[in-house]
Amino acid sequence: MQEDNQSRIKEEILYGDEDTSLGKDKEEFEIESLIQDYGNDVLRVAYMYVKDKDVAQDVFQDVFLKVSKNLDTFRGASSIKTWLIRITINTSKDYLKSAWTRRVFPISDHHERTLKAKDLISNIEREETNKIIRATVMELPGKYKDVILCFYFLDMSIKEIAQALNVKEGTVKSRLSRAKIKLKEKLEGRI
Amino acid sequence: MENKTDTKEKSFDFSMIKSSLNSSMEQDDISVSEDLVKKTMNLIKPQADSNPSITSNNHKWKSKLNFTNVAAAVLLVFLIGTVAGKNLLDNNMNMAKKDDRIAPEIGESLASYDVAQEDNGDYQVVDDMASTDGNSPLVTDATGGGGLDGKLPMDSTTSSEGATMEEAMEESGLTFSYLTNLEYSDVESLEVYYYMDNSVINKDLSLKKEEVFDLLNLYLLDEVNVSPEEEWVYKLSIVPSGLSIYTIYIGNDINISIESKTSSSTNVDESKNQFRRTFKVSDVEGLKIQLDQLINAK
Repeated sequence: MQEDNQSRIKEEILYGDEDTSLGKDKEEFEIESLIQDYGNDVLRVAYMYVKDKDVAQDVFQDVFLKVSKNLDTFRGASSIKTWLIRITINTSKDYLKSAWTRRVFPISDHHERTLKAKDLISNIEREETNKIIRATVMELPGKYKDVILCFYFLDMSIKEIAQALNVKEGTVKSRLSRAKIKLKEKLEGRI
Repeated sequence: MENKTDTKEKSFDFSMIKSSLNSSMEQDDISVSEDLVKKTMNLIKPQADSNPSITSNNHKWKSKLNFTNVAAAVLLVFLIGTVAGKNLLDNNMNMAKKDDRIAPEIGESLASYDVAQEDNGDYQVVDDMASTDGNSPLVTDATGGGGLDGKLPMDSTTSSEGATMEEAMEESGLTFSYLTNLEYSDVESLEVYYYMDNSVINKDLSLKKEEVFDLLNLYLLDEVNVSPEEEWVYKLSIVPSGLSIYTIYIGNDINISIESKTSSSTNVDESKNQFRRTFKVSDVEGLKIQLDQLINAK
């Protein structure tokens, strides 16, 4: 279903529509389709970086705003998903870099406290495990988090990850290998 | 070593990351809601521009856009004016160099100049470029201060758009032309390199040099003290009429390399003939997108 939509949208973007009067509606339709197919991925990846639901929603909006503005520049050299995820990761990182964020959000501390508090009252082992995994992935250094999310959460191939992150495939492989060791070490004894 | 790694990996099933993250986030209601879709679509529709209430969800990040941009522009114009005035009074030689954009190359190196801290600001323009064989092209190291033309990055969808006044002040830098003393009219050839389908494509952009310079100068460059990245997405090779070649590597950061035309042979000491500096722009992704449009425009 997602693949069908993706190839249809990709085709439309690449080959265009002769009737320009329908352009706006079509673009909105395309964006809605992308939101439908990849919205959760975009929102959740953003959340994994910015660690705040409201901010993740802001990033989500910003990502699709960028996509709508630049849809006509999409060359089709990578998949739409790769393109979207690339914009999502960059937008999230841009957000984290902003001075405003640094000053206003003590995100990590707040989040840690929230997680710990919630974990204490949770009686469901599975839920706890999930939260620990989430928190551990969230706390990974950026370059390791990038590859873990892309590979294991978004099911992207090494080639797609390389395109999304602008690095060589070999770099992705080595980062992934180190990220797995790092993640494993951090989870040791916790789950 | 291999075995050790394997043993470690066996005890944790990495394939559960996806389901684990999804379940955890579903439980915390981190999912795309109808409301979020509506708000996003409203933002995308052109009429959203005239209806600020639609963007209410973007509270801190976007609501101060107009005020911030206007205030930042005014501030930058003020700073530029002050810096220019100070330069004029303090160092006629420096101004001569700045105005003489036609010959920024080797042999015209100037003494270091400082526009040191003003009482009311902490901007500083220091020319501390080392020389190639003692006669280098000049690149100005800037910490703070405004760009020559006072423009802010164009892409209004960047994270910088909703910045506070303080951030706008921090988001300073200098334009490419100011840093390198290069104008498009000085350029003899301009080529771009980029990856497509795992191969490097090379295009001559000499006919679009004015547009390329206009684009580059829209982004203020702030020098950062990090090692230059090896990876790049676009590489611009600019050959002006002088004795130097300028190469701009655009990846996550922007690296500007200046090389003497005479250093292209393999037996030269690169450290003496090539300088590479790393800069940040607030929206390098926006720059890449616009450059891509420019490359592909007919």
